[in-house]
Amino acid sequence: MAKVYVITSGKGGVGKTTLTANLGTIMASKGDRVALIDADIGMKNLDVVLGLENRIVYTSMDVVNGKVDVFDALVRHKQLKNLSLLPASQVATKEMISPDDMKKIVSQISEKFDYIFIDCPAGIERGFRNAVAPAEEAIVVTTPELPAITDADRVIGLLENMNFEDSKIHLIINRFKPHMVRHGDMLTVDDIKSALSIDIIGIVPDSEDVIVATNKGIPLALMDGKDKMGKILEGIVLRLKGEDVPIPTLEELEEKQSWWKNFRNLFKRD
Amino acid sequence: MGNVDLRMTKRGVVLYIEEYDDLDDLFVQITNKFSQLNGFFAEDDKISVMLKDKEKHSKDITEIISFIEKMGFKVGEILVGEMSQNVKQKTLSVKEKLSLVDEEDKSRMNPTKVIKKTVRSGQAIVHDGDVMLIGNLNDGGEIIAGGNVVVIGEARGVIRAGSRGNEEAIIYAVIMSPELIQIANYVIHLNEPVVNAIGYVRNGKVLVERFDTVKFGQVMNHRE
Repeated sequence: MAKVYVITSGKGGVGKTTLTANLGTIMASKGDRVALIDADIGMKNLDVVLGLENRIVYTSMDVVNGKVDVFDALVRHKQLKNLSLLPASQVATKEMISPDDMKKIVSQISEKFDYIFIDCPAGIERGFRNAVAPAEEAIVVTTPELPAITDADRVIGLLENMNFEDSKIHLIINRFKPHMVRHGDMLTVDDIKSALSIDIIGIVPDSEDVIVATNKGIPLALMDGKDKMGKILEGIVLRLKGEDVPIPTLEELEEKQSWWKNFRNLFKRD
Repeated sequence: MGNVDLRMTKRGVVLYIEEYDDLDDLFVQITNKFSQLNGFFAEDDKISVMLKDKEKHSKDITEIISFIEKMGFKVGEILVGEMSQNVKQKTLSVKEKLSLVDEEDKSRMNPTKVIKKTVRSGQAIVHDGDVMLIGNLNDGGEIIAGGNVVVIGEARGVIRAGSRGNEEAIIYAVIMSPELIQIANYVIHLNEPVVNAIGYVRNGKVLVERFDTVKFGQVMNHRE
């Protein structure tokens, strides 16, 4: 039986889809059988981030309509054979699928996978409820900005109302800028921790490489020369699996940041 | 014998309520009982009320009392116990004497609600009596209490105390920086967070002050 995570945030544009793709990629590269489900029906993105948009034949909509079996709709990743994507339809709407449909889909594929990540759409309406319904645990993504934190708080509250215990809700702080924190221009990790009072499972520093990777359709974790970022993401994966890996400190994150800067500068000179 | 009986005892007149299912039914029985004795009581006579089963009917006590008071009687004591069924003499064996419940103390019938968690955006704690929150009240969260509100934590959401118009309700928070404070019908927005703060109504305005600068006696004796 697979462990089912939903990756959600409330606010849009905080990096849910990118994180889903990267965490899934890392888990798959470690040998786990991973399925990613795009629950953002009508605004699908996960296939693009994974570089699988040209391989989609059927979507979750076809599965719900009974047109095809769920295993016919799953798209296998080009390099990582144990990473699969259940794509969303771009022409359907979120109202065409119910939370029960999602539960059914997940229960059908649950046997064949170790981990299932559901990429939740922004907002707290039908799409959110669809994505959360089959999940056992939730990963809430926020950025160090007040609107994102307020929305994350709202989402955590909704998850609690849906009987998620606080121990089943994990927080990732994305797009963290250590140098801004050092200058007192950004909320610190402690600020966010005290505001949301939920366990932080990872801090991901802001990186321009993500844009490059996303546009190329290769998850950052699979790109060459991105070991440091890979390490940070790997840490999150290990922590999800219950291993006791310390979260990098501000200094460690900053060190990595400057390392990237040097790396980029090196490129520029050449 | 019905479920309701009136007896003359050492304690004065006692209205004995044995067992009932429906509150309205009970009221009809009480009315009947009193109408049989029409003219026996003078106005403002004090009577005691005795309940056989406090646990089962405790939530109805206030309603029963206000019903009796509407009939023109004053309720002196509320007793819990049995009326023994001795053939010759019906005596009372009082197990417990409850404090007099009057209109002002109504909120005491609803015990304080204690919540040990973070109240998050979109969540609301609604309670008729006092509310004690051990944890933070986040932006977008709300506490609506009929009585007082105590927040052992940081209060950043909306707090409404004395929501049924009780101006004597007070609010306490370790860190008070809510979006809105309302006591009875008075509201206030704070510009600055106040630490260890107490909020109360004085002269039609909500005041929020540090606990150590408040003359607490004044807050409590507000009515004089």
